[in-house]
Amino acid sequence: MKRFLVLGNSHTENLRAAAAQADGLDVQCDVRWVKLKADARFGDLRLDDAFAALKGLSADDVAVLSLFGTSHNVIGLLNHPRPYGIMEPGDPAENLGSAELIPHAALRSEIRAKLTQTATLSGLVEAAPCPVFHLAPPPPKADLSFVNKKSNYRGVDIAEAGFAPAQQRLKFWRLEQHVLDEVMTSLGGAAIAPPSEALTDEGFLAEPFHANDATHANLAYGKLVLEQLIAAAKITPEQVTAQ
Amino acid sequence: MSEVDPVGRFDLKITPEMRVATAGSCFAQHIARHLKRSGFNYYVGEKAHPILSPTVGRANNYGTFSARYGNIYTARQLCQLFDRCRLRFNPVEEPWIMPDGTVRDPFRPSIQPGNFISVDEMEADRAQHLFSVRMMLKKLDVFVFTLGLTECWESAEDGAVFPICPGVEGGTFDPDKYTFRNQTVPEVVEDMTEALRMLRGLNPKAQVVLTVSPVPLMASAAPDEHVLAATTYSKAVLRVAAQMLRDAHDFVHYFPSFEVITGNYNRGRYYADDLRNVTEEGVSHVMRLFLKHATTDGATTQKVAKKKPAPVQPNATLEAARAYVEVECDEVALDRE
Repeated sequence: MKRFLVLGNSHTENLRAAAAQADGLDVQCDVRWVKLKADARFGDLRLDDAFAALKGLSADDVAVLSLFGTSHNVIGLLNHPRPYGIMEPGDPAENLGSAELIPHAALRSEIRAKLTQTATLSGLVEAAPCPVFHLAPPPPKADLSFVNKKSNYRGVDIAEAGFAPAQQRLKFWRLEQHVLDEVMTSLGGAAIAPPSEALTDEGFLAEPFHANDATHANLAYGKLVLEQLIAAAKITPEQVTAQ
Repeated sequence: MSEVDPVGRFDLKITPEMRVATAGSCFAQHIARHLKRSGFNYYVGEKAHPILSPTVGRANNYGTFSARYGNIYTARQLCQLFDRCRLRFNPVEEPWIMPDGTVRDPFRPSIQPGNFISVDEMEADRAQHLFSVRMMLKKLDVFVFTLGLTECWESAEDGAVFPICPGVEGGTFDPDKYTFRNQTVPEVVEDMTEALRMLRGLNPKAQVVLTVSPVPLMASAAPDEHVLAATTYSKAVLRVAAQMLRDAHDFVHYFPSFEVITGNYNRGRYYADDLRNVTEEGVSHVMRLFLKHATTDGATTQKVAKKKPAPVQPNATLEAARAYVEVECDEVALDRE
Protein backbone atom coordinates (compact mmCIF):
# COMPACT_ATOMS: atom_id res chain seq x y z
CA MET A 1 0.00 0.00 0.00
CA LYS A 2 1.26 3.46 -0.90
CA ARG A 3 2.14 5.56 2.07
CA PHE A 4 1.92 9.29 2.73
CA LEU A 5 4.21 10.59 5.40
CA VAL A 6 3.11 14.08 6.36
CA LEU A 7 5.68 16.00 8.39
CA GLY A 8 3.75 19.00 9.49
CA ASN A 9 2.84 21.39 12.23
CA SER A 10 -0.33 22.82 13.68
CA HIS A 11 -1.65 23.41 10.17
CA THR A 12 -1.75 19.67 9.44
CA GLU A 13 -3.82 18.69 12.43
CA ASN A 14 -6.94 19.04 10.30
CA LEU A 15 -5.34 16.71 7.77
CA ARG A 16 -4.62 14.21 10.52
CA ALA A 17 -8.29 14.30 11.54
CA ALA A 18 -9.44 14.02 7.93
CA ALA A 19 -7.25 11.00 7.34
CA ALA A 20 -8.52 9.36 10.53
CA GLN A 21 -12.11 9.81 9.38
CA ALA A 22 -11.59 8.76 5.78
CA ASP A 23 -13.14 5.47 4.78
CA GLY A 24 -11.63 3.13 2.27
CA LEU A 25 -8.41 5.02 1.71
CA ASP A 26 -6.13 2.99 -0.49
CA VAL A 27 -3.15 4.74 1.03
CA GLN A 28 -1.70 4.81 4.51
CA CYS A 29 -1.53 8.39 5.76
CA ASP A 30 0.75 9.16 8.72
CA VAL A 31 0.53 12.74 9.87
CA ARG A 32 3.18 13.87 12.34
CA TRP A 33 3.81 17.21 14.02
CA VAL A 34 7.53 17.86 13.87
CA LYS A 35 9.45 19.69 16.56
CA LEU A 36 11.75 21.84 14.48
CA LYS A 37 13.47 22.93 17.68
CA ALA A 38 14.40 20.49 20.40
CA ASP A 39 12.66 22.60 23.05
CA ALA A 40 9.48 23.10 21.03
CA ARG A 41 6.40 23.01 23.22
CA PHE A 42 4.20 21.16 20.77
CA GLY A 43 4.86 18.26 18.44
CA ASP A 44 5.21 14.51 18.47
CA LEU A 45 8.30 13.90 16.35
CA ARG A 46 11.81 15.20 16.83
CA LEU A 47 13.56 16.54 13.76
CA ASP A 48 16.16 13.76 13.83
CA ASP A 49 13.38 11.21 13.86
CA ALA A 50 11.67 13.01 10.99
CA PHE A 51 14.80 12.57 8.89
CA ALA A 52 14.91 8.90 9.83
CA ALA A 53 11.25 8.45 8.95
CA LEU A 54 11.81 10.01 5.53
CA LYS A 55 14.75 7.77 4.83
CA GLY A 56 12.56 4.79 5.67
CA LEU A 57 10.10 5.55 2.87
CA SER A 58 10.17 3.69 -0.42
CA ALA A 59 10.27 5.20 -3.89
CA ASP A 60 6.54 4.55 -4.28
CA ASP A 61 5.62 6.55 -1.20
CA VAL A 62 4.96 10.26 -0.95
CA ALA A 63 6.55 12.70 1.50
CA VAL A 64 4.51 15.75 2.37
CA LEU A 65 6.04 18.64 4.28
CA SER A 66 4.15 21.44 5.93
CA LEU A 67 6.81 23.04 8.05
CA PHE A 68 7.61 26.34 6.40
CA GLY A 69 5.84 29.26 4.81
CA THR A 70 4.32 30.72 7.94
CA SER A 71 6.22 34.01 8.18
CA HIS A 72 3.10 35.77 6.91
CA ASN A 73 1.59 34.82 10.27
CA VAL A 74 4.62 34.92 12.53
CA ILE A 75 5.71 38.32 11.26
CA GLY A 76 2.68 39.64 9.47
CA LEU A 77 -0.49 38.72 11.33
CA LEU A 78 -0.47 41.66 13.71
CA ASN A 79 0.24 45.30 13.13
CA HIS A 80 3.91 46.10 13.51
CA PRO A 81 4.96 48.99 15.78
CA ARG A 82 6.59 50.45 12.67
CA PRO A 83 3.71 50.16 10.21
CA TYR A 84 4.73 48.87 6.81
CA GLY A 85 3.14 48.09 3.50
CA ILE A 86 3.83 45.78 0.58
CA MET A 87 2.96 46.53 -3.01
CA GLU A 88 2.08 44.10 -5.78
CA PRO A 89 2.08 44.93 -9.48
CA GLY A 90 -0.87 47.18 -10.19
CA ASP A 91 -1.11 48.54 -6.66
CA PRO A 92 -1.17 52.33 -6.52
CA ALA A 93 1.22 53.92 -4.05
CA GLU A 94 -1.69 55.77 -2.42
CA ASN A 95 -2.77 52.49 -0.84
CA LEU A 96 0.29 52.60 1.38
CA GLY A 97 -1.08 55.56 3.26
CA SER A 98 1.46 56.56 5.86
CA ALA A 99 2.94 53.06 6.10
CA GLU A 100 6.57 52.46 5.25
CA LEU A 101 7.14 50.61 2.00
CA ILE A 102 9.13 47.40 2.21
CA PRO A 103 10.15 46.70 -1.37
CA HIS A 104 8.70 43.45 -2.64
CA ALA A 105 12.15 42.20 -3.67
CA ALA A 106 13.60 42.94 -0.23
CA LEU A 107 10.86 41.01 1.55
CA ARG A 108 11.23 38.23 -0.99
CA SER A 109 14.93 37.94 -0.18
CA GLU A 110 14.10 37.87 3.53
CA ILE A 111 11.64 35.01 3.05
CA ARG A 112 14.04 33.14 0.81
CA ALA A 113 16.80 33.57 3.40
CA LYS A 114 14.55 32.11 6.09
CA LEU A 115 13.81 29.10 3.91
CA THR A 116 17.37 28.48 2.88
CA GLN A 117 19.58 29.77 5.69
CA THR A 118 19.53 26.37 7.35
CA ALA A 119 19.78 23.09 5.52
CA THR A 120 16.58 21.78 7.10
CA LEU A 121 14.29 22.11 4.10
CA SER A 122 16.84 21.00 1.54
CA GLY A 123 17.97 18.18 3.84
CA LEU A 124 14.45 16.89 4.27
CA VAL A 125 13.82 16.94 0.53
CA GLU A 126 17.11 15.18 -0.15
CA ALA A 127 16.51 12.59 2.54
CA ALA A 128 13.33 11.28 0.96
CA PRO A 129 13.68 8.55 -1.70
CA CYS A 130 10.28 9.50 -3.11
CA PRO A 131 8.38 12.54 -4.41
CA VAL A 132 8.32 15.40 -1.91
CA PHE A 133 5.64 18.04 -1.70
CA HIS A 134 5.27 21.04 0.55
CA LEU A 135 1.79 22.20 1.46
CA ALA A 136 1.05 25.89 1.46
CA PRO A 137 -0.38 26.95 4.81
CA PRO A 138 -3.98 28.13 4.48
CA PRO A 139 -4.29 31.68 3.21
CA PRO A 140 -5.32 34.50 5.55
CA LYS A 141 -8.88 35.13 6.60
CA ALA A 142 -10.36 38.38 5.35
CA ASP A 143 -12.39 39.05 8.46
CA LEU A 144 -10.89 38.31 11.85
CA SER A 145 -13.57 40.04 13.87
CA PHE A 146 -14.63 36.67 15.30
CA VAL A 147 -11.26 36.14 16.98
CA ASN A 148 -11.10 36.67 20.71
CA LYS A 149 -9.18 39.93 21.05
CA LYS A 150 -8.36 39.20 24.66
CA SER A 151 -5.98 36.48 23.61
CA ASN A 152 -2.43 36.92 22.44
CA TYR A 153 -0.52 35.75 19.42
CA ARG A 154 3.02 34.59 20.06
CA GLY A 155 3.20 36.69 23.19
CA VAL A 156 1.81 39.86 21.64
CA ASP A 157 -1.47 41.20 22.92
CA ILE A 158 -3.90 41.10 19.99
CA ALA A 159 -6.10 43.88 21.31
CA GLU A 160 -3.12 46.16 21.71
CA ALA A 161 -1.47 45.49 18.36
CA GLY A 162 -4.53 44.78 16.24
CA PHE A 163 -4.60 42.59 13.18
CA ALA A 164 -2.72 43.82 10.14
CA PRO A 165 -4.91 44.92 7.21
CA ALA A 166 -6.40 41.96 5.37
CA GLN A 167 -4.97 42.89 1.99
CA GLN A 168 -1.49 43.21 3.44
CA ARG A 169 -1.77 39.81 5.08
CA LEU A 170 -2.88 38.31 1.78
CA LYS A 171 -0.01 39.92 -0.14
CA PHE A 172 2.48 38.67 2.40
CA TRP A 173 1.03 35.15 2.14
CA ARG A 174 1.07 35.22 -1.68
CA LEU A 175 4.68 36.38 -1.75
CA GLU A 176 5.72 33.73 0.74
CA GLN A 177 4.02 30.92 -1.14
CA HIS A 178 5.59 32.12 -4.38
CA VAL A 179 9.05 31.90 -2.80
CA LEU A 180 8.24 28.52 -1.26
CA ASP A 181 7.20 27.28 -4.69
CA GLU A 182 10.46 28.55 -6.21
CA VAL A 183 12.59 26.96 -3.52
CA MET A 184 10.76 23.63 -3.63
CA THR A 185 11.08 23.51 -7.40
CA SER A 186 14.79 24.28 -7.17
CA LEU A 187 15.16 21.38 -4.73
CA GLY A 188 13.41 18.96 -7.05
CA GLY A 189 10.14 18.89 -5.14
CA ALA A 190 6.94 20.83 -5.58
CA ALA A 191 4.70 23.08 -3.54
CA ILE A 192 0.99 22.36 -3.36
CA ALA A 193 -1.27 25.39 -3.41
CA PRO A 194 -4.36 25.48 -1.18
CA PRO A 195 -7.43 23.81 -2.62
CA SER A 196 -9.16 26.34 -4.81
CA GLU A 197 -12.60 25.32 -3.46
CA ALA A 198 -11.55 26.72 -0.09
CA LEU A 199 -10.75 30.21 -1.34
CA THR A 200 -12.78 33.34 -1.87
CA ASP A 201 -12.63 35.15 -5.19
CA GLU A 202 -9.94 37.40 -3.74
CA GLY A 203 -7.89 34.45 -2.50
CA PHE A 204 -8.70 34.55 1.22
CA LEU A 205 -9.66 31.41 3.11
CA ALA A 206 -13.43 31.11 2.71
CA GLU A 207 -15.46 31.19 5.91
CA PRO A 208 -16.74 27.58 5.75
CA PHE A 209 -13.12 26.49 6.12
CA HIS A 210 -12.20 28.68 9.10
CA ALA A 211 -11.05 27.09 12.35
CA ASN A 212 -11.92 29.18 15.37
CA ASP A 213 -8.67 31.13 15.57
CA ALA A 214 -6.84 33.69 13.44
CA THR A 215 -4.70 31.42 11.32
CA HIS A 216 -5.90 27.82 11.08
CA ALA A 217 -8.26 26.02 8.74
CA ASN A 218 -10.78 23.41 9.81
CA LEU A 219 -11.54 19.75 9.15
CA ALA A 220 -13.38 20.50 5.89
CA TYR A 221 -10.19 22.10 4.63
CA GLY A 222 -8.19 19.07 5.78
CA LYS A 223 -10.48 16.82 3.73
CA LEU A 224 -9.86 18.88 0.61
CA VAL A 225 -6.12 18.74 1.19
CA LEU A 226 -6.32 14.99 1.57
CA GLU A 227 -8.03 14.81 -1.82
CA GLN A 228 -5.25 16.93 -3.26
CA LEU A 229 -2.65 14.57 -1.88
CA ILE A 230 -4.37 11.53 -3.31
CA ALA A 231 -4.36 13.23 -6.69
CA ALA A 232 -0.73 14.24 -6.26
CA ALA A 233 0.25 10.70 -5.35
CA LYS A 234 -0.32 9.71 -8.93
CA ILE A 235 2.52 12.00 -9.99
CA THR A 236 5.80 10.25 -10.67
CA PRO A 237 9.06 11.57 -9.25
CA GLU A 238 10.07 12.68 -12.73
CA GLN A 239 6.92 14.73 -13.02
CA VAL A 240 7.55 16.38 -9.68
CA THR A 241 11.03 17.39 -10.70
CA ALA A 242 9.75 18.69 -14.00
CA GLN A 243 7.12 20.91 -12.42
CA MET B 1 55.04 53.53 6.04
CA SER B 2 52.00 53.43 8.28
CA GLU B 3 53.43 56.35 10.29
CA VAL B 4 53.17 58.80 7.41
CA ASP B 5 50.70 61.51 8.36
CA PRO B 6 49.94 64.07 5.68
CA VAL B 7 47.12 65.71 7.63
CA GLY B 8 47.84 69.39 8.02
CA ARG B 9 45.14 71.75 9.14
CA PHE B 10 42.05 69.86 10.28
CA ASP B 11 40.01 71.87 12.73
CA LEU B 12 36.98 69.65 13.09
CA LYS B 13 36.65 67.58 16.24
CA ILE B 14 33.93 64.95 16.25
CA THR B 15 32.53 63.97 19.62
CA PRO B 16 30.86 60.59 20.20
CA GLU B 17 27.40 62.06 20.26
CA MET B 18 27.73 63.92 16.95
CA ARG B 19 25.80 62.30 14.13
CA VAL B 20 28.08 61.56 11.20
CA ALA B 21 26.54 60.92 7.79
CA THR B 22 28.34 59.80 4.63
CA ALA B 23 27.88 59.88 0.89
CA GLY B 24 30.06 59.68 -2.15
CA SER B 25 31.75 57.33 -4.53
CA CYS B 26 32.56 53.73 -3.76
CA PHE B 27 35.58 54.70 -1.65
CA ALA B 28 33.14 56.41 0.69
CA GLN B 29 31.75 52.98 1.52
CA HIS B 30 35.05 52.23 3.26
CA ILE B 31 34.71 55.36 5.32
CA ALA B 32 31.14 54.48 6.26
CA ARG B 33 32.15 50.95 7.20
CA HIS B 34 34.96 52.13 9.48
CA LEU B 35 32.95 54.92 11.05
CA LYS B 36 30.29 52.38 12.01
CA ARG B 37 32.74 50.22 13.91
CA SER B 38 35.02 52.88 15.33
CA GLY B 39 32.83 54.34 18.00
CA PHE B 40 31.38 57.17 15.95
CA ASN B 41 27.70 57.91 15.99
CA TYR B 42 27.23 56.81 12.41
CA TYR B 43 23.92 58.19 11.31
CA VAL B 44 21.61 56.14 9.12
CA GLY B 45 18.45 58.00 8.27
CA GLU B 46 17.00 55.33 6.02
CA LYS B 47 17.06 52.09 7.95
CA ALA B 48 15.78 48.72 6.84
CA HIS B 49 12.45 47.81 8.37
CA PRO B 50 13.10 45.58 11.39
CA ILE B 51 11.27 42.61 9.88
CA LEU B 52 14.23 42.38 7.51
CA SER B 53 17.24 40.71 9.07
CA PRO B 54 20.48 42.71 9.25
CA THR B 55 21.99 40.51 6.54
CA VAL B 56 19.10 41.04 4.16
CA GLY B 57 19.01 44.74 5.02
CA ARG B 58 22.67 45.12 4.11
CA ALA B 59 22.18 43.13 0.91
CA ASN B 60 19.43 45.57 -0.01
CA ASN B 61 21.75 48.53 0.55
CA TYR B 62 20.28 49.79 3.78
CA GLY B 63 23.10 51.30 5.83
CA THR B 64 25.71 51.20 3.08
CA PHE B 65 25.47 54.96 3.30
CA SER B 66 23.36 57.16 5.54
CA ALA B 67 20.47 56.88 3.10
CA ARG B 68 19.78 54.48 0.28
CA TYR B 69 21.17 56.70 -2.48
CA GLY B 70 23.91 54.36 -3.67
CA ASN B 71 27.16 55.79 -4.93
CA ILE B 72 27.18 59.52 -5.60
CA TYR B 73 30.12 60.14 -7.88
CA THR B 74 29.87 63.76 -8.91
CA ALA B 75 29.25 67.10 -7.31
CA ARG B 76 26.35 67.63 -9.67
CA GLN B 77 24.75 64.37 -8.64
CA LEU B 78 24.96 65.43 -4.99
CA CYS B 79 23.62 68.89 -5.73
CA GLN B 80 20.69 67.48 -7.66
CA LEU B 81 19.95 64.94 -4.92
CA PHE B 82 19.69 67.76 -2.40
CA ASP B 83 17.49 69.69 -4.79
CA ARG B 84 15.26 66.66 -5.34
CA CYS B 85 14.88 65.92 -1.66
CA ARG B 86 13.67 69.49 -1.18
CA LEU B 87 11.17 68.85 -4.00
CA ARG B 88 12.69 71.63 -6.07
CA PHE B 89 13.72 69.38 -8.94
CA ASN B 90 11.82 66.49 -10.46
CA PRO B 91 13.77 64.96 -13.35
CA VAL B 92 11.81 64.07 -16.47
CA GLU B 93 13.62 60.75 -16.97
CA GLU B 94 11.15 57.89 -16.94
CA PRO B 95 11.79 54.80 -14.80
CA TRP B 96 13.90 52.16 -16.48
CA ILE B 97 11.90 49.06 -17.35
CA MET B 98 14.01 45.92 -17.48
CA PRO B 99 13.42 43.07 -19.98
CA ASP B 100 11.65 41.04 -17.28
CA GLY B 101 9.26 43.89 -16.55
CA THR B 102 10.89 44.92 -13.29
CA VAL B 103 11.82 48.53 -12.76
CA ARG B 104 14.99 50.45 -11.85
CA ASP B 105 15.40 53.96 -10.58
CA PRO B 106 17.59 55.76 -13.13
CA PHE B 107 19.19 57.77 -10.34
CA ARG B 108 20.17 54.73 -8.24
CA PRO B 109 19.91 51.84 -10.69
CA SER B 110 21.53 49.18 -8.53
CA ILE B 111 19.96 50.12 -5.20
CA GLN B 112 17.34 47.37 -5.17
CA PRO B 113 18.59 43.85 -5.88
CA GLY B 114 15.87 42.12 -7.88
CA ASN B 115 14.59 45.57 -8.88
CA PHE B 116 11.22 47.12 -8.12
CA ILE B 117 8.11 45.25 -9.14
CA SER B 118 6.36 48.24 -10.68
CA VAL B 119 6.76 51.89 -11.51
CA ASP B 120 4.47 52.70 -8.61
CA GLU B 121 6.64 50.79 -6.18
CA MET B 122 9.79 52.45 -7.46
CA GLU B 123 8.21 55.87 -7.13
CA ALA B 124 6.95 55.10 -3.63
CA ASP B 125 10.40 53.93 -2.59
CA ARG B 126 11.97 57.00 -4.18
CA ALA B 127 9.62 59.33 -2.32
CA GLN B 128 10.43 57.52 0.92
CA HIS B 129 14.13 57.77 0.13
CA LEU B 130 14.07 61.46 -0.67
CA PHE B 131 12.18 62.16 2.54
CA SER B 132 14.88 60.25 4.43
CA VAL B 133 17.58 62.30 2.74
CA ARG B 134 15.83 65.50 3.77
CA MET B 135 15.60 64.29 7.35
CA MET B 136 19.23 63.24 7.25
CA LEU B 137 20.31 66.70 6.14
CA LYS B 138 18.35 68.24 9.00
CA LYS B 139 19.62 65.90 11.68
CA LEU B 140 23.26 65.23 10.86
CA ASP B 141 26.09 67.07 12.60
CA VAL B 142 28.86 66.09 10.21
CA PHE B 143 28.54 65.21 6.54
CA VAL B 144 31.46 63.31 5.03
CA PHE B 145 31.43 63.44 1.25
CA THR B 146 33.89 61.73 -1.06
CA LEU B 147 34.26 63.34 -4.45
CA GLY B 148 34.73 60.58 -6.98
CA LEU B 149 34.44 61.63 -10.62
CA THR B 150 34.07 64.58 -12.93
CA GLU B 151 32.72 62.58 -15.86
CA CYS B 152 29.00 62.01 -15.98
CA TRP B 153 26.06 61.53 -18.30
CA GLU B 154 23.18 63.92 -18.15
CA SER B 155 19.75 64.25 -19.62
CA ALA B 156 19.74 66.54 -22.63
CA GLU B 157 16.25 67.61 -21.64
CA ASP B 158 16.68 68.84 -18.09
CA GLY B 159 20.32 68.23 -17.16
CA ALA B 160 19.59 65.48 -14.63
CA VAL B 161 22.79 63.57 -13.96
CA PHE B 162 22.99 59.78 -13.77
CA PRO B 163 25.40 57.75 -11.66
CA ILE B 164 26.27 55.59 -14.65
CA CYS B 165 25.78 55.88 -18.38
CA PRO B 166 22.19 55.02 -19.35
CA GLY B 167 22.11 51.66 -21.08
CA VAL B 168 24.68 50.02 -18.82
CA GLU B 169 22.55 49.10 -15.83
CA GLY B 170 19.17 49.83 -17.33
CA GLY B 171 17.57 52.21 -19.76
CA THR B 172 18.55 52.51 -23.39
CA PHE B 173 21.35 54.72 -24.53
CA ASP B 174 20.22 57.38 -26.97
CA PRO B 175 22.73 60.03 -28.03
CA ASP B 176 19.89 62.47 -28.60
CA LYS B 177 18.65 62.03 -25.04
CA TYR B 178 21.88 61.80 -23.08
CA THR B 179 25.00 63.91 -23.27
CA PHE B 180 28.42 63.49 -21.79
CA ARG B 181 29.79 66.07 -19.39
CA ASN B 182 33.24 66.28 -17.90
CA GLN B 183 33.01 68.79 -15.10
CA THR B 184 35.52 71.59 -14.73
CA VAL B 185 36.82 73.09 -11.51
CA PRO B 186 34.36 76.01 -11.64
CA GLU B 187 31.47 73.60 -12.23
CA VAL B 188 32.43 71.37 -9.33
CA VAL B 189 32.90 74.35 -7.05
CA GLU B 190 29.59 75.82 -8.13
CA ASP B 191 27.67 72.56 -7.64
CA MET B 192 29.26 71.89 -4.29
CA THR B 193 28.69 75.46 -3.16
CA GLU B 194 25.02 75.10 -4.02
CA ALA B 195 24.84 71.74 -2.23
CA LEU B 196 26.49 73.26 0.84
CA ARG B 197 24.08 76.19 0.71
CA MET B 198 21.12 73.79 0.69
CA LEU B 199 22.59 71.73 3.52
CA ARG B 200 23.25 74.76 5.70
CA GLY B 201 19.83 76.13 4.84
CA LEU B 202 18.28 73.07 6.42
CA ASN B 203 20.93 72.65 9.09
CA PRO B 204 22.92 75.80 9.88
CA LYS B 205 25.37 74.03 12.19
CA ALA B 206 26.30 71.20 9.83
CA GLN B 207 30.00 70.58 9.35
CA VAL B 208 31.35 69.03 6.16
CA VAL B 209 34.37 66.83 5.53
CA LEU B 210 35.47 66.47 1.93
CA THR B 211 37.70 63.73 0.65
CA VAL B 212 38.73 62.77 -2.86
CA SER B 213 38.46 59.16 -3.93
CA PRO B 214 41.82 57.59 -4.78
CA VAL B 215 40.13 54.98 -6.96
CA PRO B 216 41.14 55.59 -10.58
CA LEU B 217 38.65 55.64 -13.43
CA MET B 218 37.82 52.29 -14.98
CA ALA B 219 37.10 53.89 -18.33
CA SER B 220 36.72 57.33 -19.79
CA ALA B 221 34.05 58.64 -22.10
CA ALA B 222 36.05 61.76 -22.87
CA PRO B 223 36.78 61.82 -26.61
CA ASP B 224 40.32 60.79 -27.53
CA GLU B 225 41.34 60.62 -23.89
CA HIS B 226 43.37 57.80 -22.41
CA VAL B 227 41.99 56.57 -19.09
CA LEU B 228 45.26 57.48 -17.33
CA ALA B 229 45.08 61.06 -18.53
CA ALA B 230 41.36 61.17 -17.77
CA THR B 231 42.01 59.96 -14.23
CA THR B 232 44.66 62.61 -13.65
CA TYR B 233 42.31 65.31 -14.95
CA SER B 234 39.40 64.10 -12.83
CA LYS B 235 41.36 63.78 -9.59
CA ALA B 236 43.15 67.09 -10.16
CA VAL B 237 39.88 68.92 -10.69
CA LEU B 238 38.31 67.38 -7.60
CA ARG B 239 41.36 68.01 -5.44
CA VAL B 240 41.57 71.67 -6.48
CA ALA B 241 37.84 72.11 -5.99
CA ALA B 242 38.04 70.56 -2.50
CA GLN B 243 40.82 72.98 -1.57
CA MET B 244 38.86 75.97 -2.87
CA LEU B 245 35.77 74.91 -0.97
CA ARG B 246 37.72 74.43 2.23
CA ASP B 247 39.33 77.83 1.84
CA ALA B 248 35.98 79.47 1.16
CA HIS B 249 33.97 77.99 4.04
CA ASP B 250 35.01 77.62 7.67
CA PHE B 251 32.62 74.69 8.09
CA VAL B 252 34.24 72.70 5.27
CA HIS B 253 37.23 70.52 6.09
CA TYR B 254 39.48 68.56 3.78
CA PHE B 255 40.83 65.19 4.81
CA PRO B 256 43.73 63.88 2.67
CA SER B 257 42.75 60.25 2.22
CA PHE B 258 43.62 60.65 -1.46
CA GLU B 259 47.19 61.56 -0.52
CA VAL B 260 47.48 58.68 1.96
CA ILE B 261 46.54 56.14 -0.67
CA THR B 262 48.20 57.61 -3.76
CA GLY B 263 51.37 59.03 -2.16
CA ASN B 264 54.49 57.53 -3.69
CA TYR B 265 55.91 56.87 -0.23
CA ASN B 266 53.89 53.64 -0.15
CA ARG B 267 55.24 52.43 -3.51
CA GLY B 268 51.74 51.63 -4.72
CA ARG B 269 51.09 48.95 -2.15
CA TYR B 270 47.81 50.47 -1.03
CA TYR B 271 46.33 49.32 -4.32
CA ALA B 272 45.31 45.72 -4.91
CA ASP B 273 46.57 43.74 -7.88
CA ASP B 274 43.84 45.12 -10.09
CA LEU B 275 45.42 48.59 -9.51
CA ARG B 276 42.01 50.09 -8.66
CA ASN B 277 40.77 48.57 -5.43
CA VAL B 278 42.23 49.98 -2.25
CA THR B 279 43.60 47.41 0.18
CA GLU B 280 42.36 47.14 3.72
CA GLU B 281 45.83 48.15 4.86
CA GLY B 282 45.43 51.46 3.03
CA VAL B 283 41.91 52.05 4.27
CA SER B 284 43.04 51.34 7.82
CA HIS B 285 45.84 53.88 7.48
CA VAL B 286 43.34 56.51 6.34
CA MET B 287 40.89 55.78 9.12
CA ARG B 288 43.56 55.67 11.80
CA LEU B 289 44.57 59.18 10.83
CA PHE B 290 40.96 60.29 10.65
CA LEU B 291 40.33 59.08 14.17
CA LYS B 292 43.55 60.68 15.37
CA HIS B 293 42.76 64.08 13.93
CA ALA B 294 38.96 64.19 14.03
CA THR B 295 38.26 62.96 17.53
CA THR B 296 38.51 65.18 20.54
CA ASP B 297 41.36 63.33 22.13
CA GLY B 298 42.33 60.72 19.59
CA ALA B 299 41.10 58.25 22.13
CA THR B 300 39.41 56.01 19.62
CA THR B 301 42.53 55.80 17.52
CA GLN B 302 43.36 52.37 18.76
CA LYS B 303 40.08 51.05 17.40
CA VAL B 304 41.53 50.93 13.92
CA ALA B 305 44.48 48.64 14.30
CA LYS B 306 47.49 48.93 12.12
CA LYS B 307 46.90 46.41 9.42
CA LYS B 308 49.97 44.26 9.01
CA PRO B 309 50.66 43.58 5.34
CA ALA B 310 49.99 40.00 4.43
CA PRO B 311 52.83 38.02 2.83
CA VAL B 312 52.60 38.42 -0.90
CA GLN B 313 51.42 35.26 -2.61
CA PRO B 314 50.45 34.81 -6.20
CA ASN B 315 46.89 36.06 -6.75
CA ALA B 316 46.40 36.31 -3.00
CA THR B 317 46.51 40.06 -2.62
CA LEU B 318 43.61 40.78 -4.90
CA GLU B 319 41.55 38.03 -3.35
CA ALA B 320 42.33 39.37 0.11
CA ALA B 321 41.44 42.87 -0.95
CA ARG B 322 38.17 41.66 -2.36
CA ALA B 323 37.40 39.72 0.75
CA TYR B 324 38.09 42.55 3.09
CA VAL B 325 37.09 45.64 1.24
CA GLU B 326 34.45 44.65 -1.20
CA VAL B 327 32.41 47.65 -2.18
CA GLU B 328 29.77 48.16 -4.77
CA CYS B 329 30.98 50.26 -7.66
CA ASP B 330 28.65 50.91 -10.54
CA GLU B 331 31.58 51.12 -12.94
CA VAL B 332 32.05 47.40 -12.51
CA ALA B 333 29.00 47.08 -14.72
CA LEU B 334 31.08 48.55 -17.53
CA ASP B 335 33.20 45.41 -17.43
CA ARG B 336 30.14 43.29 -18.03
CA GLU B 337 29.29 45.04 -21.22
